[in-house]
Amino acid sequence: MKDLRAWRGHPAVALLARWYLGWVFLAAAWHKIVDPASFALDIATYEMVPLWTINLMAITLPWIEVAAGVLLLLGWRVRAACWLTGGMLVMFIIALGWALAQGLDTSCGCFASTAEGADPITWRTILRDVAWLALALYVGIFDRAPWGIDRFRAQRSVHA
Amino acid sequence: MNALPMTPRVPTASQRELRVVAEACSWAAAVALFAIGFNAVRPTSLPLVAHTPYQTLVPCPDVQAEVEAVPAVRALADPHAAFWVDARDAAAFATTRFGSAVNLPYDYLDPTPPEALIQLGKTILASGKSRVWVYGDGATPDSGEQLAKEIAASGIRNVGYLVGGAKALLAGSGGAQ
Repeated sequence: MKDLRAWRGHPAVALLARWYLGWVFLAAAWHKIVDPASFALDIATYEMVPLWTINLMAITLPWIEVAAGVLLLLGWRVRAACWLTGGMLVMFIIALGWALAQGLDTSCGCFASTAEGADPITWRTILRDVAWLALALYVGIFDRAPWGIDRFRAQRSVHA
Repeated sequence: MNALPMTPRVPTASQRELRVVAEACSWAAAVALFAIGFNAVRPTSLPLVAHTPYQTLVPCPDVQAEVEAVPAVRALADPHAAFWVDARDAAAFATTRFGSAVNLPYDYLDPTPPEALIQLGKTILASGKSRVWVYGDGATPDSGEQLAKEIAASGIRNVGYLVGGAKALLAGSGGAQ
């Protein structure tokens, strides 16, 4: 495990993983920020959370996705960003599993509103989120000196 | 007395991880506050708390079971050949019924309760009949055909629906039986 963590290639591989994850989260947030009412309806469709939390989630969640995506892309506070993305992905996986168990025949609302009918909830959707969770874990665990602002700041503090 | 050399306390791995988690929570809280502020000033702002439930319309899973289309004439020619199920509501069933039908009203919004299907299966078994014919209102879509698919999907075999439903049966028989 120590040898694996010491491998010098991690920052390069993790950079690709970070950029990919960052792009995914920014793409996922876009329609939710543009039309929060539709996103609120998407959340309500899952019939999983109490009514009073729906709007609050619809308002805040997309911006947390944006923050996580930007931090990953810039390589700034990367480990915190990994916790954010990981936490959100665990939440999404639970929600998708719940929807699948309930037999909800609807789209997941991940990259477009459920009203548009794209991206139906299947085991493939859950596997996709699990794969993204694995990427976030990889970055969080193995990328100890991430390329980006974190590394730039670390180098500056060493030289200072 | 010799003073011990002071060494800076190095946080353990779990302490470092806890700090990262705390930082992630701080980011989430700060961004959430920004989002609430942004929502307050945007023209299409959403109330922070919804007071009326959202009207969510989720289509029921499409039942794909195969069922036989039985012409009303054939059913009327040999009404004892099958176990009859009436998919119409109780009021319609009370007015007109066919054969020795049992009533299991079909609702397009609520799937038939599994317990009702299990009970129906037991009744069919007790009747000794090897076929099940379901008739509905004869509309488009036909409630009889939908219920027949649900019954077939529950594991009961040889299920058919009467084409044209109660209307066709009524026309074929010249009145209620």
